[in-house]
Amino acid sequence: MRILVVDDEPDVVESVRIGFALHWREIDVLGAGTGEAALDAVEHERPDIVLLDIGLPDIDGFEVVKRIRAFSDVPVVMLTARDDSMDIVKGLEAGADDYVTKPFNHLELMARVRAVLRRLTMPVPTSRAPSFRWLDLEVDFEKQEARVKGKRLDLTPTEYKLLYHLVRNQDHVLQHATLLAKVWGREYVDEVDYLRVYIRRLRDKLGDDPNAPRYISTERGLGYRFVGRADHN
Amino acid sequence: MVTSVGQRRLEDTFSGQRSESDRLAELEQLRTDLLSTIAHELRTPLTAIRTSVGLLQDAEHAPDAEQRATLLATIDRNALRMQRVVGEILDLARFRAGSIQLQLRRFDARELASTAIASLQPLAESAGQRIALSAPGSATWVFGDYRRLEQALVNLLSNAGKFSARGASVEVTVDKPADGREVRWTVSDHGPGISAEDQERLFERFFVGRNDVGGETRGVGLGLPTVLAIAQAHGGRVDVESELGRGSTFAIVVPATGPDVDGDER
Repeated sequence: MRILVVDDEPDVVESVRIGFALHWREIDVLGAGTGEAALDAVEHERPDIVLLDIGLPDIDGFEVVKRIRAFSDVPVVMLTARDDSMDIVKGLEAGADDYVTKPFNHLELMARVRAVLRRLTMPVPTSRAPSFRWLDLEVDFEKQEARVKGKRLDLTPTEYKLLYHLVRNQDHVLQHATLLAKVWGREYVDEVDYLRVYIRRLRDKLGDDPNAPRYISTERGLGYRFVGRADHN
Repeated sequence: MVTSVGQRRLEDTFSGQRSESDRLAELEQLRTDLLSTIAHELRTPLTAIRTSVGLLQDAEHAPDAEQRATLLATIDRNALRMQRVVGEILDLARFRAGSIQLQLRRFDARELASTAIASLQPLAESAGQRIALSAPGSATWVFGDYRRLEQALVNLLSNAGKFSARGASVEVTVDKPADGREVRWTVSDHGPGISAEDQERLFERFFVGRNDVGGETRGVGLGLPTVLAIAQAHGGRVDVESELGRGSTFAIVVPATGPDVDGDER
């Protein structure tokens, strides 16, 4: 397995390299110091996961992840020096899968890398239950796909998982922590920003309006609820 | 074309003749820039330090001798980097507040140049670069704060090295223009040069040029503002001459007789 570490500080790359050499021998660490070098490495070296610093000297990390997403689904973990949620949301919206805040140590970093890899290999939930239908939406649990007015939605596995848990609990509020644990894993129960970003994406794809929701209702301070019959009486 | 920076009073650099709302907007921008800069420039070396310390402390997966040496060198290098960043931030804040008292004495400007060069020599050698000094044959007396002016010259030399390719040379000259009324330390490199657009912003705090040779030595963007603050505190200025593709020349110019302590310049 190969990991690409993109940071303009060679000492960060080197200490991460030694960390993986000692703790996770199956991983080869590749290094890149600029956004251009990172894009080149993703294209030609095909790493299994990318750790990407935001503060790069040529192209900022947000732009790099956007460009990566134009040709690759490789998981990207942003390395950010700022822990305010604006940077985190911006990274997730650009297409990153996760983030780690500097300064981190090798154990925190490896735990995050493991969590991302585990999440990506977690099976998408399937069920023999009959398809779910509500207004224009149909969710086919067996085929793991959703359609609106018969047109198939292009959902990522994470978006599908989120939709799956919402519709399987129609009319019930799913708390932030519950959804995060079900979709991302237990170590993510405090990452409410992840939910906000993915709920927004899901609503966009469903054509839903958060102010007059036909599908996903925000339960302020609590979580989200897939709307049900009670909303339409 | 030579651009001189420093004819205005030091505080004008920070406040200028702008409206209150402009000043507030500038302060807000400064706060944001400062946070980003501190976040990146301190947390990045802290990451290298924390990762290295964690690996050295890990008895179960102990690094070998070579790895230990690498990790210890990483800790040392990054601790020094943090020390430098903190020092630059504090220095500039003190200059801005006018709380730095210059320790004035008479000294030979050539000696200061030699000391500054000596402190950068190991770094230059590791980059395969050469620093050459050209100075008058006799003592070039100046009245100023030796330590602060050395700090300013070291900043210029450090920048010249950062923006020079491996194997390139950097030239330092000492002279007394203006009929001996001024003393000038000039640092010239053969790096990529600075665009006219970037030259206008060079002395802004936290401005970092984009065309450094290695692409990995960005710094905090406080070096040149500090050089300017030191020159201005001496009643002097900083001259800049640069063209893209033709290298850059920076000169610290101060009155040979020292700052006018009763005048408007301090």
